Amino acid sequence: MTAEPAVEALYQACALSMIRVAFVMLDDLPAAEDVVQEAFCSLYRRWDHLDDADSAMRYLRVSVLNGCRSVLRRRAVRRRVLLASQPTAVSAEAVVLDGEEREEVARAVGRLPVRQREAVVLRYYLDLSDEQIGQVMGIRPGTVRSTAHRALEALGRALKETS
Amino acid sequence: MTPLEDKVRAAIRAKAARVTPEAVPPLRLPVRRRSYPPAYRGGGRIGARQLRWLTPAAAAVAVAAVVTLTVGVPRAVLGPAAMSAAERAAQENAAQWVAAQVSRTAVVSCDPAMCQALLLHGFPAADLLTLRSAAASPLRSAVIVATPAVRREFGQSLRSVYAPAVLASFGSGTARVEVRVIAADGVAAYRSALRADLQLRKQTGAQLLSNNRITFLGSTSVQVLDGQPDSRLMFSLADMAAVRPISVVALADSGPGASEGIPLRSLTLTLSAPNPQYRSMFLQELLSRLNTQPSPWYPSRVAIVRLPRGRTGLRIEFTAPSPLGLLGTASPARSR
Repeated sequence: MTAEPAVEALYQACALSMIRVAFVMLDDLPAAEDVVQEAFCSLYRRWDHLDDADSAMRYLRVSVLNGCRSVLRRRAVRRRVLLASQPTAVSAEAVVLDGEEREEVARAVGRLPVRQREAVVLRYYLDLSDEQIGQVMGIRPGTVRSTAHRALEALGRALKETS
Repeated sequence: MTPLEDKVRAAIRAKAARVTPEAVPPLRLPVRRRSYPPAYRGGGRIGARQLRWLTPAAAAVAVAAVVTLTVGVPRAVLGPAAMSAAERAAQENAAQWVAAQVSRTAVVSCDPAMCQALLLHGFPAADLLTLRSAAASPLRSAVIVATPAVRREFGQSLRSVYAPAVLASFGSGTARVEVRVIAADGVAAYRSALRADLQLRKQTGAQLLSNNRITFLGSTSVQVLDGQPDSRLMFSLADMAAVRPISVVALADSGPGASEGIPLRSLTLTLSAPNPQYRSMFLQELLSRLNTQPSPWYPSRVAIVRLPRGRTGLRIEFTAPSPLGLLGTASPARSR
């Protein structure tokens, strides 16, 4: 299959889940859409160098995570520039719909360090195995387990403090 | 799975579900810059089926070439021999400037002679889009080098349709060569993006002026308040000031004859009242910090320079064209 229809088909199949992953990571829908769009464009440019559908999927996940990291890094710089970093407002409607506790957990996930947040999102949203998460994050499965463990500990502590 | 893991899974899924399928925008794929026939891509042999039409195709190309050469050669394909000395000097200066100042991720449109000059100055061939006639669209590029030949081919449409702003201009009169920035989404959209960017640069400039770790010397405070520096310079300034107190000595741009509103892409700074013993170490510290910045904050050039009265400073330069909207969005505006 040539690049364009193949990438289009992949976009139809998994753009939504990729945007959702980026949204959980960034808490900013336009930025999440941009990251995913950029990842698909990059996949399209690299299509001829990829071996199979699996490697395309892996490439996509890595691109999305890298894109999220770039956005978070830029945000950190902006904060240093004193560009009036505004915390993302959570709508009252969303709070009611999702429930207080879920909202609290989601906020705690958003406060985790980037690597821990990535491990948690890949594990509990995309249901990837530790090996797959390791491939996407470029770390060993053992490190994935310890990172996720530390993330859960931090979340447990954060939720205890707020309750 | 523990109750905490259940909670985390449910919370993440609930948050993700806020993105509805309707929120997925249509896919916008870029134009593929290089497309090779399968024989080149995979290194495979051309089959008999492809060879069947290859001979008539080659014949057609040969006929077209003969017709083009005999009926009407556009001025753009004329070689350097047809140029006056003034044109040649302007082209040489423009080629030097583009090779030194334009981002290596930007595609540059040029007529064959100018493309050849750019190649000689080390500009990558893959990033050149050769314009052989007015039928060729420069919209796939980020910058166009408007030589007299290109201006003749495109006429008024060059500035009114394709490339409204000048990044740098060399020579004068009909011999002048302009390096122009392409408005990929149209001239109106470009002007509006430039206006919005200038507004954000002014706001950021005002914030930088109130930063007590940055001292602006001479006219640099006015330039910053006017939003003249490129947004990447503004980021770098704030980032470095967080490490050491600094003084901005000069803001400049190496683009002669640039249009109004085109940001300044270079600055010179020094450390504010540093202990002379540590000056060199602190400058090295800032230099290393700049060299490890991610794109788009990675400068094209950073160097420790000598300043008047024996002082040392740091000169920082970013590539052209300046990205617009970098200060206003979570991700920088896409450039081609």
